[in-house]
Amino acid sequence: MSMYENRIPVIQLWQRIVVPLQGDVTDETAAVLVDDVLRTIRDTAAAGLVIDVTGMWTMDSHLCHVIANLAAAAKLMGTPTVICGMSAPIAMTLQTMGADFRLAQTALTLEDALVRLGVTATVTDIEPEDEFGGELQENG
Amino acid sequence: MSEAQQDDKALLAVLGRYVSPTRAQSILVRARRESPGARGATPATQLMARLAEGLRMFCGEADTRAAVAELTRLGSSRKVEAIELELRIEADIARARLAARDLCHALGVSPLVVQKLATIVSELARNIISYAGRGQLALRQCGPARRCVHVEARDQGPGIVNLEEILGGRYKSRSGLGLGILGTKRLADQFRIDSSPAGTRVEVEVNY
Repeated sequence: MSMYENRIPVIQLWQRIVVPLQGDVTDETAAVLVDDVLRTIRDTAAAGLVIDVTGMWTMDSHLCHVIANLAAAAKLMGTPTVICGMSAPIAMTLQTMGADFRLAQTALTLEDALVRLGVTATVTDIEPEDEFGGELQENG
Repeated sequence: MSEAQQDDKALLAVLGRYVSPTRAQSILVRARRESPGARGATPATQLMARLAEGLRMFCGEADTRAAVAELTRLGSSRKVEAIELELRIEADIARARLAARDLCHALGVSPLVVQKLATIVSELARNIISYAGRGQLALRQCGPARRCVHVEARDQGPGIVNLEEILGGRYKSRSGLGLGILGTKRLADQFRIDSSPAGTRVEVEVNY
């Protein structure tokens, strides 16, 4: 498997970086991710980092260690990290094991995580597009 | 038609609904080859784990899960709940925890127990790869009457020198080994470890 197939996206938005972890993250994928994220932080001078673990099916102590190290490194560069979306079974398992996540903040959802990093949203109704409406009339 | 041929035909019919016939054939051939003795006495679970690995290469997680559930139902008349894995490279760690999940799904255990077992298997497999280089991992149901999964990890590595210190929680390595073994012990309902310069053997039971 090439490393590009398993590369995790590093998404930039509003001067923050969002990293959605998904499925089964192997050691190799995690190592590539740490490189990618730290480079993106440096290149974009990001004001915050969100690691979204909603899509993870499991997390072992090694992956926790990698994420904790990533958060610590980001902090050294001046960027705070928020971890969000941890499922109940994963949270229980990590708690039982005694894993240590004190270096990073945590939030329940991606939205909460972005709010912690100073992003506030303004939501307005979506206007129907003229083009689309016109087509509908023609068909009718 | 022999029983085995009938089995294969039924398996192919299910696989064929998720992937192309050619891929179905190659997944099955490969799964058969990699699970020696998967007929008769030895577990279809082992075969299922291999089929799941094959399917995962071509379809998404949701489809793989649906297909495996169907395939498992096909073979549910025979009792089978054991998986043996050789661990050699880092990718085998991910393979081991996915196999643990497949076994859990076949047994129908709760999400929390799936999580515990997957984590335990992942920790044990990582210790083997990192410190012994290679080893074996076996997963099975404890006994017919017990709702419990048994995990055994064996290696012929140099053994763990500071075991007392690790189990007492006084040791913390930079790579997280301390938490691996101690965490496994904390997650397990039964835990036994024998470590000597000739190798290490860890036995774990988790009730479900």
